[in-house]
Amino acid sequence: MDLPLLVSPDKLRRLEEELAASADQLGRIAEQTASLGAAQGWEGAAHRAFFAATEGVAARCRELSARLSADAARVGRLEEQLAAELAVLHRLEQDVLGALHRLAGRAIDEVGGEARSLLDQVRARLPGPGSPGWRDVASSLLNGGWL
Amino acid sequence: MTDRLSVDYTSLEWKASVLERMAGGIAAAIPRIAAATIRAGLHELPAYGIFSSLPVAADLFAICLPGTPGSLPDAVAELLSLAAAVRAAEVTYRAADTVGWARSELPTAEALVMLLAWNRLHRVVALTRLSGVPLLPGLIEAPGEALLEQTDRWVEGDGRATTVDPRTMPRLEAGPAAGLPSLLGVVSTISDANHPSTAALLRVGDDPPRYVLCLPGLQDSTGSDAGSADLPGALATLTGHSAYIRTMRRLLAGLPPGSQVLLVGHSQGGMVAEALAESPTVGRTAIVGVLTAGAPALATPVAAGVPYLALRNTGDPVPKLGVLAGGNVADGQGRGVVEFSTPGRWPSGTKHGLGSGGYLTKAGSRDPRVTRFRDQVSGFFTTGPVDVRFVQVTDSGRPLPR
Repeated sequence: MDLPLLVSPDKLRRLEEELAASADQLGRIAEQTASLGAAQGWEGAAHRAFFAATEGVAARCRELSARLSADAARVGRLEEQLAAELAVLHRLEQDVLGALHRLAGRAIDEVGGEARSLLDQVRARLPGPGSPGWRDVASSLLNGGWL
Repeated sequence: MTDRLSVDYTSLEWKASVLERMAGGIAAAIPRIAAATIRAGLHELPAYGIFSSLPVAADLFAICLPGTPGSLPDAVAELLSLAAAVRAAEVTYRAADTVGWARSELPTAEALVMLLAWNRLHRVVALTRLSGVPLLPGLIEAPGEALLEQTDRWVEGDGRATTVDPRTMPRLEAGPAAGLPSLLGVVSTISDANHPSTAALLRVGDDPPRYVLCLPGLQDSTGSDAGSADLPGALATLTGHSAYIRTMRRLLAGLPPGSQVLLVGHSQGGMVAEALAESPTVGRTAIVGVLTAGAPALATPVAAGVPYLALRNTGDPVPKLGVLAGGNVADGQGRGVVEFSTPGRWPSGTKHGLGSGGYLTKAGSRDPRVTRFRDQVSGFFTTGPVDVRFVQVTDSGRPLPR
């Protein structure tokens, strides 16, 4: 399904991948910072202070990594929800357009040019493919008020 | 002293460059995450009935936002400040090594480098203020001050307060809070060689709780012990970042909510008082007056509205060290500097003493500016006995007295 929409499962998947990769990177930086703090090279007091400072930074990097991982998982779930929602909207779109075409076909046979013009006006008012507006259209049709 | 340094400079250089590389890696990830978040259109998902996307979007923007605690730019700043501190330490070690200083003098060398860095920062901030763009000085000053704070934690340690058994302390005179001279007398009494770096917290009234914090000055000019009132501590205090300041700030923040405090300090203790009064409150404690004697002025002045009196003997060389810190305290109505002179050769170290320098006498004088300050803080005077808590301030927890 190729949808020219502001939102799409593909874009969410790319965000999820970006977040997961960044979480991995932060995790690696946390470990590297901690091991850097433990490395020797200078005098006792400064070494201890540096060790404590790197421990603090490493802990914050670990927290950020966990937060990004959690966000990546949440984006993954959003991706699934959006895919399911778009599938429903797509089915509604097919149903509405199918019904409209059937109605229009019969009207064209009976009235001619005026019905075709009306059909074009109605189609122009329909939402774009994948738009959440299809829910409103379907709901209005069921209530008998939209057309 | 033959206790020479042994530092692997190559290793320090490597550590700094690794930290900078890691900071660069995170910095590069920030625009990628922000762009992917915007492209993903999380804010559009509620139109599809998916409202749980909004908290995710909010969290991701918070993660990318500079200045937000626990954000990626924050982590970048921390890594960069670590790298800068390692490089600063390397420079200090090299300098100390070159001139053949001993390990015990290293904190002094580090504090000097810190003061140099602070002066440079101060100059750059002053220049950027001239640019007229209000955001610019803040962009430079905030991370610079954070770096200095971090560096000082390395030089001196976080700072620690240890309660001292009052029975071991020199006896205070009767009515220690009877007036300004008595309070300076407390500072003089607690400046005791057997109890270095020991401050006194006097509870002088209730409803609201009222305290006077008496802060002694430098007592160890070598910096070889762990007391915060030492030479490296004094140099660091000139920059507004020291273990002495941090520890006293924690002490004030820990007082009962609504407490009011009068700060009284001599020399380095006076600088600490000024630094604490940068803001009129510390936690939920209000600072309602600052009295300093023989103290250099810090660059960041005491908060407007806090009564302030700085006594300075013109023959006392110590207040003149304020030039190192770029201090400039305006002499305003009801607050500010009161300069006076005492007989004798000028300048002289004896003029720095609270008694020998004439500070106790001046604090009890009828000078109109002293009188005005005395009236402003008269709620802290009591002729009766007061509860006193003595607190020894050490850099990193090593025990004192020696």
